[in-house]
Amino acid sequence: MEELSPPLLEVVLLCDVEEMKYKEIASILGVPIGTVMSRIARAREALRRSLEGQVSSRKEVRS
Amino acid sequence: MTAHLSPAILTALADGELQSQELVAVQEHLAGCAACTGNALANALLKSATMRAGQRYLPPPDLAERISSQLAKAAKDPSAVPLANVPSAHRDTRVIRSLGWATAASLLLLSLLPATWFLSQNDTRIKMAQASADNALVSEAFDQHVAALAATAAPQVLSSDNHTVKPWFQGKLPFAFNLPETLPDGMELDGANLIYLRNQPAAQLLFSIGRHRVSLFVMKRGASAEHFPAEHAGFYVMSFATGDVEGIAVSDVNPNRLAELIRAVEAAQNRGGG
Repeated sequence: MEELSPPLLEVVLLCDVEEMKYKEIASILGVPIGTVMSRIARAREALRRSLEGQVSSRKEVRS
Repeated sequence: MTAHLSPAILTALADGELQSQELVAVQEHLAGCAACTGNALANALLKSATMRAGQRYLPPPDLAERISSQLAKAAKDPSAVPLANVPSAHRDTRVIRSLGWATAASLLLLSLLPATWFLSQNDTRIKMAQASADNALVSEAFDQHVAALAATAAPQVLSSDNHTVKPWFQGKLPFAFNLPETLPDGMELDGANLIYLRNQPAAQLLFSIGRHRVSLFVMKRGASAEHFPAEHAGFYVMSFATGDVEGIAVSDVNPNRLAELIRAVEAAQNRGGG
């Protein structure tokens, strides 16, 4: 999560940790709801890639 | 809906942001598409993992400060008070989690609450912590249910016979439970898995009600009370507790039918069953 940029990190924290709705996040951050959705999608994609990278490197270390 | 679900739809599904009609269409699609079901499962697991990691994560001070100031602005703006519309139980769990990652932000959240009486009452704080723990348990149960839906392999014990399923757990669980001799009409026992909830072994009993699947998790009774949310990500959640055993059911079936199943299993605990 430390690798995420602040705009992506804050939406992830508000969405996944605080369990806020997109509408609430948009209101708090003062951005359109579409921006919230795209940031969440990009944050998840970045987290997924990061996790996949960690798994790959572990496999390489084992082999 | 024949094409695969878009990433935006899958993200909205994981976040519980789909409208009811969209949710029905998506669930119908998932019932017949293994690829999308796998993607939906991956999204749900990623969200769950992020939630757990986020509770232990301390953001940089500047980020916490920025969110705090934004929350303060939102609190001052009467046209943008989103938290006022959130059920109080939900708000309470948010406060608990906020304390973990941004003290400043959580203090502002507290200031948004209509009253501060709970801060001075230990029992209320205990209830809030309990609600948070129960939400985490439901999240775990939901993940296990979705994993069972997506699984291509058969359950660990594949049988509709309660006299086969129940004995299979002997020596695997630190408690005993009963299954009803007969299930309500239209309900079938499909099998069961040994899984872990709250880091404790538990039985995942798999039922079918029509084309709907039900996971009923039976575990040793813990400290949890009746704080389980009624729904999680569009799925219904129901529970029972009796003696040393408690159960949580997760399904998208009609809640009245789910309640019938819960009552049958709960009654079996009280009178003894198969």
